[in-house]
Order: sequence, then structure tokens, then C-alpha cells
Amino acid sequence: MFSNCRNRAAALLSALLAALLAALLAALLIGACGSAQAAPETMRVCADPDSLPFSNQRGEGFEDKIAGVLAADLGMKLAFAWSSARRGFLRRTLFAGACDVVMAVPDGFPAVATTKPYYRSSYVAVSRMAQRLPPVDFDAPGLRALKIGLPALGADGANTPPAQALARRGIADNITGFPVFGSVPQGQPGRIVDAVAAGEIDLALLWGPVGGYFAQRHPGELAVTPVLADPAQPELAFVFAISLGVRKADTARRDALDGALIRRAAEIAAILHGYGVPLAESPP
Amino acid sequence: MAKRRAGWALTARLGAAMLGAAALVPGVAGAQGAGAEWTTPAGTLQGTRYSTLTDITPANVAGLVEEFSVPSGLHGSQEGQPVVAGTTMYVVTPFPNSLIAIDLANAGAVKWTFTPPVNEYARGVACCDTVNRGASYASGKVVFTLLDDGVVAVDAVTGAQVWRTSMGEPLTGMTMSGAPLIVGDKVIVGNSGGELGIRGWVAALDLATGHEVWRAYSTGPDTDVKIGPDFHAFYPKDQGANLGVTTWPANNMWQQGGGTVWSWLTYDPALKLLFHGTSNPGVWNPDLRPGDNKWATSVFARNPDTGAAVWAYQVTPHDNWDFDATNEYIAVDLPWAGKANRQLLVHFDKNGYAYTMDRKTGKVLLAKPFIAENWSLKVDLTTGAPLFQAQLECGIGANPISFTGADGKQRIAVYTGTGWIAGGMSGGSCPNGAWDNNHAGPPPGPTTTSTATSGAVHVFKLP
Repeated sequence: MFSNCRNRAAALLSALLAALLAALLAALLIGACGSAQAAPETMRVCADPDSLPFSNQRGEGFEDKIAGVLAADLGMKLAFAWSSARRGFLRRTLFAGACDVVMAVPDGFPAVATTKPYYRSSYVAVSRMAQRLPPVDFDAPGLRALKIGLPALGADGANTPPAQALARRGIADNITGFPVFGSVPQGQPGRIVDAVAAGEIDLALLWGPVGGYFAQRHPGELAVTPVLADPAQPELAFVFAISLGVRKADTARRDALDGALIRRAAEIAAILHGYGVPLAESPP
Repeated sequence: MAKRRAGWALTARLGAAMLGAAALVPGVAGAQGAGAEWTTPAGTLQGTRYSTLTDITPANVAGLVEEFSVPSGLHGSQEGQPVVAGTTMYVVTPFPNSLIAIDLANAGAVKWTFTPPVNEYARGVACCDTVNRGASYASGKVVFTLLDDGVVAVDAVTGAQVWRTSMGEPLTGMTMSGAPLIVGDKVIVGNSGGELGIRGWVAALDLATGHEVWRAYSTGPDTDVKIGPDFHAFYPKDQGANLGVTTWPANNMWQQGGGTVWSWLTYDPALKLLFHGTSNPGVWNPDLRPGDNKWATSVFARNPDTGAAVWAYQVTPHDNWDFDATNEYIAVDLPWAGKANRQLLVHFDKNGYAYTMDRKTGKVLLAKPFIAENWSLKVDLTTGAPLFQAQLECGIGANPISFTGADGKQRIAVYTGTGWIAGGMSGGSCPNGAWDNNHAGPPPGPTTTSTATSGAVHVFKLP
């Protein structure tokens, strides 16, 4: 019976890695789309209108900036088509022909053709520097004494890897869920990080680019440290390489983007740095 | 609109049936069925989905042919059953939630289309496709919900908006997709979004003005749930103070506890009771919310004038599977245990059980699986509680049936006049349309046939 459960859990984890987490990342990381039809060519970017630090309608996200760099490199104009990057995002945008390139999908995301990854990040822990918390150890008894914030994800995101790590240990009473949707002026999704600074919670466990970006609002106050694995679930990925995605048949476009990513690597790295995106090492 | 992408088979099929019905003399009127008009999504306030018209019979049903179809121009699933008032049929489309008035007496000509502005943000937030579950008609108004948490009343003749009320903020993850039910002078509505860490509620608006009269939450202290002196749960498991708080972890997780009211409501005029189910609990991960998680995945009987709860029964404690308990609760009088007309509540749940309850008390009289299920051994009629299969309680995501519910289809019930059957309704349940976004490929191409869309609702006739 146990083994049945384990098998199911393993099957589910595969599904999570292949689909749910990928979908979550795709959803959170938005997209831009370049098209190469008539001259002057336009890079049509399909992006979430309200999802900083990744993108917004004012072009303030780091993906927006990177899209601009790539379009310039390829001598293309840049245009955006906006769609909330949640369930049905690819269906409504890339697959509907509304755009040609999605700026961020997990590398190898099976629904699309992906470029080489242009950054790699991980889940992170955000805490107050003054509290001097040790690196996250999911088995440390002290973890149960901390107030922990998690994104209150729904069916789309199922569970983030840190949430799964906590849940399997029965750590629930000290967890607060935070909304992940909504614009920055509404206080979301950065509120989970603000709550750390304000002392409402001790630890926020969330996707690195989100944590790093919102921690910049509290300079010198917050520590952003990577959370790379759960020893009890070695198959559960905490690190994701992020690539551009195009329709599977669009290999020429993918190749062109790959070239631009290489040529503009330094500028892209500077943009990521400016947005506080924590970068993870390549796996050995 | 014509000759664009086909929207739904439902309109065509039901349209043909209803047109025939409207043109002929209704059959014997019965308290438990609808006549020539069909003013709630389930035909009657009681939710019977039964027509007393006799024009269509087993002998002639095979001869039904499509008379016309009206495309929605949308790809989204069509979950809302049309309503009919006079000889006009009203259909709510999926997002962006237009209301189409179709003239049944004139070969399906579109009289008008009411197109309210709807916050685009809601489309991205909605958990499970951008469906709408239909409108209700009363007093010359057609009332329906908008995905962006609006409720609108539209003049049934002119198509002009009478009022519009905002019930919430889609930025929070909350949307509205359920069908209103009009009880007297009140419009009863509920919210959606239990997957996104929001808190479920049911509310009443004044039919004339749209002003909110009451709102009852599914989680939290008794005062918020509107559990007071009138409340008498039948089973001890559902008795006690503030269960909407105490059956959750200590950190007030009930504030994101789901229990939304996203589908269909029913009402019994005899007992003056409103019946509604509640959705899965939030947050999605069950291991982060140990406890029964009341009052998610439950059924309530309420006073529609005040919202006060009269009884409640948690159908699936600690809902680990997204079973919800929101399929409609059909109020019907049937022979039971020697009594000619027992006041019953019949419910086919996504957990695989068909429940027959005493709708006055909330006592479960019968609970039997109507489809193969493996999450439980049985429902104990002494305690009212299901007995879980222990080996399936093994943590995250161990969802043997899962949120698809039984065989992946929503269940509906049809009152036949002599008994009950369960029918499948495709294209509706959350997961059916939910995961398409991960599949590469073009959307369905233009088509003029009424059966080739994802939004088809199939109407079955008994053999």
C-alpha cells in the first residue's frame, strides 16, 4: 500500500516536474515573442501585463528589457501583446499565433522549442539579516519555530518545491500563505517579502527572481539565500534553467535568438543583476 | 456572428426541443418540473432539470433534428444551460460573458447581445477555464455573474443593463462563474477561486437594486458563516462552536480556506430553504492544512432572507482530491420508507457517492457509490462520515480519483417523473479543460457543425 502511494507520488512528481512546475515557471516568467514576417520585422512579445519583476504593460520587467536587447540585436522592432500568464497562456498566445517567442520557459519545456538557457535560478529563502538564520534545513527542528511565508498557489502551481518539502514533514501550523497575483501597487506579489522586513514572518520561501527583486525594496535589511534541494526528495528540482521558447516548427527563429543571446550575454547578465535575480550555478 | 466558429451544441439541441415545446400545449404541470419556460439553469428552483412537457417522447426523440444554431464566436467551454422566458432564450457565453437573446419564435434570430465590459485581468486568474454557469430569469430581468466578480441584471426585453454590482476584486484571485438563483426578491450568488487561496462565500443581492443584503462565508468564526441559534447540524461531527476556525491549523489558514460556491444553487419553497454546496478547501496542498477544513466541501441549508444557516453537513472532510461538494442539491419529494412524499435532497457528488438526505434536517438517508471509487470504504450513516481507505492517505497529491471527480465528468441528475438517473456532462469539469495549455498545437479550426467544439453540452434522453 505504501509502495502504491510512493509510486503515485513519484508519478506525480514526474508530472509536476514535466508540467506543473514547468507551467508555473512559464506562467511566472512570462513571454515575449518575435516575429519575422514582412520588413521591417517586428519582434512580437506576448507578455503578462502585470507580473513584475518579469514584465508589465509599462515595459518595466527584466524580460521586457531583455526582449528589447534581443530585438535590437536582430534589427527588429519590438511589440507586445498582453495576456495574463496563467492557465491557457501558451494556448492563447504562442499557439494562437499572437506571438512568436515566449521569453521564459523552463529549458526543454516540452510544449515548445527552447533556446539555450540564458539564466538559471533557484528557490530562495528571504529573511532578515539581523536575525542571522542558518541556511534552510528542512529537517532542522528550529524550522518549526519560525513563521514561514509561502506563495498561496492554486491548481496552476500546485505546490512549490519548498512547500512540498514542508508539507511532507507536516510543517503547517507556522505557515502563512500569501497571494501571488496582482499588481505591485496593490501590494502583491511582493507583499510576502515586505512581510519579512516588517517582522510579520521570519522566512519567505519563493522563486528566486521574485524574492531577489522585492528584497531590493529593503536595502541592507534582507538576506536572500538559495534553497537548492530537499534531501528527502532528491528528484524534486529547486533549480531551473530558463530559456526562450518558440513554436516547435520555428527552429530558424530559435537559432536566431540563440545567436542574439550569445552576442548580448553581457548586457543580459547586467539586466538580471540589476533586478536582483539570484543566479544558480550550472549543475556539474 | 453567423458562420464564425461554432460555439455550442447545447443551443441547437435544446433550442430545437424548446421551440417545439413552446409551440405546443404543455403537458401536465407538476410542482417538480418546469413547463414551457425554463427560468433557472436547472429549470426549476428545486433543480430538477425535468420538463413536464410531453411533446418529446421515447418514440420520437430519435427524430429530433437541428433547427438552428447560434455560434458564440468563442472557444471557451459552454457550461451554462440556457434559460427561456416567453419565447426568448438567453445564453451567457464564457468570458467575456455576453448575454445573447435568441428568438425561438423566429428561427433563432438574435434579438440582441448584451456585452458588458469585463476586467480582462479576471481571465488570467480564473482557475478552470473561463466558463459561466448560466443565468436566471425573474420579474423581467435576466441576472448573471461576470468573471470579474460583477453581477448584472439585464432587462429581458430591451437588453439594457438594470444594475451591476461588484462583489470583489479579481486581483485577489477571486472570480465569479456560478449561476445565480433568484429566490423571491433576492439574487443568490457565490464566488469562485478556491484554488487560489481565497475565502468562499454565498451572498444575496436585492433583485430590484442589486444592493447586497447578506453574505455568508464558508470558513471562519460562526458569525461569519452565519451559524447562530437557528443552526442544528444533524451529526455530532458537524456540531460545535466555530468549526470554521478550529478545524484548521492554528495560523488562521481558514482565511485562505476556499469553500467557494461556484456552481448551482437550489431552493425549496415548501421549507423555505436555500441549498448550496461549497468547494474544495484552500490552499491547494492538503498537507499544509491538516484538519477537517470546515466548511469546505460541505452542503448548507440557509434561510434565503437572512443567510442564516439552518443545517450543514460536511460531505468530504479534509478534501484531498478537489471533490468539492458543489454539484447541485435537488429538492424533490419522493416515496421513501413507506412514506408517500418524503422531503428529500438528492445529490450526486464528485466523490463518487449519490446522497439522499432529509432536506429538513440534513440527515443522510442513503449514500452509495454510483461509480467505481477507491478513496473510501463507505459512508457511515450513523456518524455521517466517510471511512477513508487508509492506504490512500499518503500525502501530497495522492489523488486516486483526483480532481477530475469520478470519471472526469461533472455529474448531474435528471428527474424522470418515476425515478432518477445520473447523467454525464462533458466539457465542463475543471480538469477537462484545465490542462490544455500544456499541449502544443493550434486551436480548433472554424467549423459549422455543432458537435465539434470543446463547449458542447449533451442533453440525454432516457431510453
